[in-house]
Amino acid sequence: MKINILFFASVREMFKTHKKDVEILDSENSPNKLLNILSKREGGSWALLLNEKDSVRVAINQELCGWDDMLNDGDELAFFPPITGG
Amino acid sequence: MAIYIQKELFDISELTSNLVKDNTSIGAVVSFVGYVRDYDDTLTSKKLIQMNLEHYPGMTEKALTKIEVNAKSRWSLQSVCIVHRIGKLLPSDPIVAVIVASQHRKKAFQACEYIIDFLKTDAPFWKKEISSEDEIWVKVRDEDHKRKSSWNLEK
Repeated sequence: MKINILFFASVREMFKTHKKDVEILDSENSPNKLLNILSKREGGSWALLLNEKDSVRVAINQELCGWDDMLNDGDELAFFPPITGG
Repeated sequence: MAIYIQKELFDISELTSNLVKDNTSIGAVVSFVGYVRDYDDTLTSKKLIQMNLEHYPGMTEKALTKIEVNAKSRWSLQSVCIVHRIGKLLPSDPIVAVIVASQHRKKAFQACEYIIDFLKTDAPFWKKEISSEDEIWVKVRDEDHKRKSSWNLEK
């Protein structure tokens, strides 16, 4: 299935891009599984992101979510650091 | 419901006038305005010269709407306006405004504080501070999360 990934702030700088579309297997259907598989498959920024996972937040379809929440085909998945607005 | 994400400077008196216009039941308006400080002790020189504000378009509006809806279900409010700036800001520039109108002052004071406390932790904005030596992403303050959690303990 296809997942549209967005990166913000320090995570965007880590990937040197704002967005990336990835194809994953139906069984890799959580932010946690997706990150693990891409880290193994592609390394680079994905491996760095996995390393810093504890300080990274995730959102599915523009709602904050947990690392083990379910991803569906066509979802928008975002990775970003903790929020610091206001 | 008025939520604005913008690069431009906002005019607090104009926003307040628009908020109270045509509503004669409003008895109190409380507003909070956050500004860019030129001092941050995490910077080598302690002196900030510029701040860059980034956000997640789409999610930001949803998150702010949710905070506003929750505030309105907690207190009976007449009107709410939230403005947050993005892009390049300089010391003394206003960053954020929360304006709350209600019949009596207590609800307006409480709801204004509630909205800015939740905005700090739930609305996807990120600040980058720039000094003559560094460019650093602002770290989360534990205090902000404590303030948010304290609302869940109060009746």
